[in-house]
Amino acid sequence: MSAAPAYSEDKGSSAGPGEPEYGHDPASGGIFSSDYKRHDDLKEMLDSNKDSLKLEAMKRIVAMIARGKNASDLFPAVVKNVACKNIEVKKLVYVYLVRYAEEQQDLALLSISTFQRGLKDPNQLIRASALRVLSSIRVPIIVPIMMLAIKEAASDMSPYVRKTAAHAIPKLYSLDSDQKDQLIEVIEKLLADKTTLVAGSVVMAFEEVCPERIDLIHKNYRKLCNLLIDVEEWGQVVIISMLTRYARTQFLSPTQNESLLEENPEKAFYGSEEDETKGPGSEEAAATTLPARKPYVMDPDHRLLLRNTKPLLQSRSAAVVMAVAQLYFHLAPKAEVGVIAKALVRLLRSHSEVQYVVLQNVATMSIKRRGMFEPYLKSFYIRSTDPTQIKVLKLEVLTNLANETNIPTVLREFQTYIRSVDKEFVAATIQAIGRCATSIGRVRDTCLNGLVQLLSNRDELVVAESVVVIKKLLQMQPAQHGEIIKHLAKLTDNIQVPMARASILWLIGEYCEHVPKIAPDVLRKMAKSFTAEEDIVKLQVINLAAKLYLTNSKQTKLLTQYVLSLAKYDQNYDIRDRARFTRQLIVPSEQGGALSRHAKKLFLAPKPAPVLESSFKDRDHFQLGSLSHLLNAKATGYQELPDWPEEAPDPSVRNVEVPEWTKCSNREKRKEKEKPFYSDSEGESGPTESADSEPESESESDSKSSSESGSGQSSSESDDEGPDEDEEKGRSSESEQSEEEGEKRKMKKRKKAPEGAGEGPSSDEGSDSSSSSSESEMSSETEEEQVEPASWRKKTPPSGRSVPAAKEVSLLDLEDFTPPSVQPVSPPMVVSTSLAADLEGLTLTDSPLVPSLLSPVSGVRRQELLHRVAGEGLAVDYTFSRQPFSGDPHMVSVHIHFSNNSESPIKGLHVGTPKLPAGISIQEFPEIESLAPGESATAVMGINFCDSTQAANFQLCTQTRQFYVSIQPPVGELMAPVFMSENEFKKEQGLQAGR
Amino acid sequence: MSASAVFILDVKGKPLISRNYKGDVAMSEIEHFMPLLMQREEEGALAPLLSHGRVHFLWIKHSNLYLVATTLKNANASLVYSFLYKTVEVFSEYFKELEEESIRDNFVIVYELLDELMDFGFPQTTDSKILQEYITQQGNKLETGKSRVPPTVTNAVSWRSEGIKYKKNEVFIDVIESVNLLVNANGSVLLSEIVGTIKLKVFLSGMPELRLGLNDRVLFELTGLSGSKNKSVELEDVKFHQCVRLSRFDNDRTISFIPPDGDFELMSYRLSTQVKPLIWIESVIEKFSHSRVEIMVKAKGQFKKQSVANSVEISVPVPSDADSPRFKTSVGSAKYMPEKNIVIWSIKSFPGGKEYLMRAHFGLPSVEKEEEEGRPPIGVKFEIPYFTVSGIQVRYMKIIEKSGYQALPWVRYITQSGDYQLRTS
Repeated sequence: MSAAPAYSEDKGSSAGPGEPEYGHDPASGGIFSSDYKRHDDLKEMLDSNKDSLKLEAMKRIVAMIARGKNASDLFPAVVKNVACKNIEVKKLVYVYLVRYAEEQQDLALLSISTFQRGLKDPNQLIRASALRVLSSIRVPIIVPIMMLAIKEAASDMSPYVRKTAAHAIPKLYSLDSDQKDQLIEVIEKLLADKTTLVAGSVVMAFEEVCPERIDLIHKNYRKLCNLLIDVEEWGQVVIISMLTRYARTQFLSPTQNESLLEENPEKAFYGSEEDETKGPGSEEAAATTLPARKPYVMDPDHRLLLRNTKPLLQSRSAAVVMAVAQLYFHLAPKAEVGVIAKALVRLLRSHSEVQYVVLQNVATMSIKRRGMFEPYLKSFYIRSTDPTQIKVLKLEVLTNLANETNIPTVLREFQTYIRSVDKEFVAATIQAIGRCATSIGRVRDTCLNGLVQLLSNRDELVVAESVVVIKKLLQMQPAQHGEIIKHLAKLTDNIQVPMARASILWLIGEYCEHVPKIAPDVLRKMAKSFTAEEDIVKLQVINLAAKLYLTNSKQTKLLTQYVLSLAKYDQNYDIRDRARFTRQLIVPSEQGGALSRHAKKLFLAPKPAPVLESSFKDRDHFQLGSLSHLLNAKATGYQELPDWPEEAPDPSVRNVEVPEWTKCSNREKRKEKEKPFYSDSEGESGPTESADSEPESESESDSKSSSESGSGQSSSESDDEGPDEDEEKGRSSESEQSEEEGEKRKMKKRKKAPEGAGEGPSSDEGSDSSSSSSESEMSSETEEEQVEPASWRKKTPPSGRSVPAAKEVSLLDLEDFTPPSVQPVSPPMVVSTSLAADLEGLTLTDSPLVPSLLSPVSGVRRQELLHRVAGEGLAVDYTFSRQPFSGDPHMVSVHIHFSNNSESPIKGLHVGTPKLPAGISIQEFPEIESLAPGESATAVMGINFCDSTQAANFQLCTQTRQFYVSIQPPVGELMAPVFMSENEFKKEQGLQAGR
Repeated sequence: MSASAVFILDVKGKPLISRNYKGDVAMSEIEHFMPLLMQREEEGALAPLLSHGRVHFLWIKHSNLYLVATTLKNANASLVYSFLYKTVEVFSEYFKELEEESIRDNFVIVYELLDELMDFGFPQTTDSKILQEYITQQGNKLETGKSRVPPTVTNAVSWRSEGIKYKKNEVFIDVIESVNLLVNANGSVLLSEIVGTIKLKVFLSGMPELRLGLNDRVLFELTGLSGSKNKSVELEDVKFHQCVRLSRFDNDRTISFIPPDGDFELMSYRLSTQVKPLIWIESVIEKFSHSRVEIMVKAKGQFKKQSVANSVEISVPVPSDADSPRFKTSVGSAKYMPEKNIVIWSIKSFPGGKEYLMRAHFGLPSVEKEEEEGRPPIGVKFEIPYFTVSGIQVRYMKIIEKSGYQALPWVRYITQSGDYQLRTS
């Protein structure tokens, strides 16, 4: 094989890297010739028609790239091979393209068509990798092509390709942020995807592109919660952190009413311990006791999130455990946070980097929720094998956990640490002892004594650190400790560490009245060595001199003046400044008497004792587990974890249409009188079902196409997998009640079906197939299908039949369903109400429906047509009156309510030239001549929407102004009502089912 | 979300291989990494997270390599570390050992792997079993896989591909428990815990469904088996391989799963129940300044007489300036390791209930050095086969496959030392 020698030659040259380069004079062009030659054989190999040669060449080129060598001049030769059939070569060419496309944009464009072909390949692997490479080429010119490719891939059959599409979204976004709006649409679509493979990637894309569009999550929230456990680990992490943010904006704080607990940390402690020891059983216990104590009731969706993330604490991935831990910390009620402690402690067995992250987080948590980690105190004991940074962090945690009961153990442990070889760690330990002493009054003396003993340690660093800590402790109760100060004063002869010397001097100055004899002597010594001291020591010497001058000027006047004059000529300007300043203050002079009179107050004012606190104190305002928390600074792109809202946003936004639809049952409806649709207990099982819904539009198209094409079938099949799984999972939690419900559901279905078949033979076929399929599966989609034909039918007949002059009942309006107006006109009134009532369960609103059932037209919700601000005082609302328009049976009558909120009357209200889509026509309302301020008027107009949901756009004109407005009808408003008795209904239903 | 680029550096900080995922961090930024690392190391403030300006380096060290991920944004730190370790794991599966040499020999594969592991800074396929399906060492298997759908797509079991065949269907179960112990200088046990792992080596055809039964106390209580004759163990904080159905475990403590092919760690658990330290050490270290150190160490096996601890190594700290060692041991041999300042006393086999003694004598220089030395702990390493300290047992392993073949499970128990330290006074 001809490749073999060439390859070995190359190997030889790479063995001695850079040899040819050095061998030649750069100016002579030797580099180029040798380079040229070397690449020449690669080019030859690439041009050959043997795949093996090509492969060999590509391998060598990729190896060059990997080593960071420039292989860009091979670009033309490589690009040619992008169409190569051999997948191995292709893969390497892709790798090459991604690396160099940006540099050689013009040439890169040559390869685009190949990718576009690749996107249509029957093999999903190729489709995916074509998309991946296409999106990785950072060339602005191809943005539109990428956009198109992403959009197409987002509706690909293969979840793998859809996942790749999700990955491509942030890439495109970073290339051209103007595409945001379009990308959001794609994200929205992919969010609705039900495969676990896609979920993680699309949430990642969401976080990159539009984290602020939290509204996109609503409908998918429950689905994401339920899928979570099956998503791969990386996706889990991303989803969990996104859901944390989501939950913070949507739910109420579970801790808001726990001030009682706040005051009594003991209680929290026991609560958490219980939780851990009792295991799974205790959760219920906690759940039952909690509500009893406080009025707060957790949103069932909030509970769902907590429940579904809990098993993930057992994940093998540290990142997942960490993510769940932060979720619990930020979202769970106090009593439940405890469960994460055990999992976090377990992570301490992990790699030291992971430990580092975990300990940082534990340190932060342990300040807020000390009780949580107390049972695991011993797990934070330090091993001599730990790296320093881990030791210091563990120390931090131990200090945070120390309390009255365990302090003896902790202190004993600290004693061991002080003997460690690691000086930095010893210093940190001494600091920790200081903190324990300040926080736990009982052991303050013990600690102080221990620290004083350390003063005689042989290691200067230890002594110095002890001095600094002792200084801080003494400041809290100076009176009793004259002896210690004296002892410290003696140390000035030996100790050299500047910080320690400065601390001692400050102490002596501050409490000079306790050591009246020694203080001047110390000053004398310091004056002697003043010039040789470090800056911070010098400053403290000046300080000491000033204080002594004020209290004991007889003995120290001269010394002070000496020190001040030394300082006056110091090299450091801070010290010169300080000296000048001090002199003016303390030495009385002719002019500046005002301040010096108060000098004593200035210098010897009682100072508040320093608070020794953890450096992790305020870190919890960063979201735990984030890089920013680790850095204790905001990293680029950090998003503040939002505070809990004061009032819970509308929880119904998470309700998804279809499952509710299936739920409606007579029993349910009866219940509604007493309680809202979502009772607490139902909510628990509700979400698991609702998660499998699809956005309306998709299911609509599904239902229409299902009978048409085989491809549609298969896609819906794959979609069905999701819900099935979910149902299985949900089943365990669902009680018998839900089974009952299921039965009702079936009944319901049978009832509903004929309603469509009734009078419209035209749609018999379509509904036939759909209803038969509905027998086999209880999928929500089929429900939708059944309903759909009904609407077709109802829309078609009006030409043949005069619309009854009775009220209409909107059966199918999903979005804006409002209780129908029931006016006692038609004879089968009773039936119609029962029918209405039957169907009423279909609504999505939480509001109690029954009371409004009998309300008149005015109860129908008004839609805004023109806001009063936009309309300069003229506010216009409209309602669908659900009565046939008198002029033309094809028209829907719309009531328009005008109200004048302005100061002056509005004149000449009429409809201006409408710009209407084909087929839509408008019957204008008669002009309203004048509308006085504060008055309102109602007009009726008819619109023929031509059975479409397209909006009718028209102008509202006053004498002075024109407003562009549009009315878009919900599907339900387009139908004419039909009334029939229950028996009739059942009969029709039976026909419809085809049995 | 996470990394902008990933680098693999040699021990001097020179990039061996790099992969730029996002292009928002200049690749030259890595030059700041090593100086920064050195500086922080000198300051003694070495952390796995370094920052240079706006760029943050998250790094780990593996043998003689640095794996560095750079990021500009607020990445999820634990995710990045997990990813880097996962990368090491994948590379190790490909090249046995991940070190400079193996990277240099496999540039193409490493580059391809890096490409596959992460896309635009977000981890993708990281399961080495799956990766091996389409990134092959020789690059020749791929023809067959051309039309095959990647198994991840089927989604139900991303960790196992279909169509695996073995002549003999077997499962090897290793129950390995390591004992972590920390004992105070005055002999009181500060911390004693058992960290157990159950490792499986699976040679099974098809898509077998496995169920593992342990003598789990919670399970026994659930099923009412908690009679006196059944010894049970309370597993504390259990962690599973992704293949285990967590929800089932949550509900009824059943460990059921479809295993990946080959080696993997099924689960790990932790028990903090106090057990008698398996090997108990008493030591007397007498230091006569300026002349000598005398060390007396007594080791006692506190486990069942039938069991034997193998390759026991007891490392005893000695002052760094000690010289002229002399040893006397009742069994085994002792060796002075001046570079680590320890004496290692190794005993090949140490039956339970026995007690052994070692004496050591060192000379000390008459001139003493200034600094006082810390007192490092005594460390013990050992391995006891056919024995679990917690008493955990595999009660059954059920293997169900469509084709209904018979498969044999083999079980092996080992207890070994983990972090086993006894502080000296």
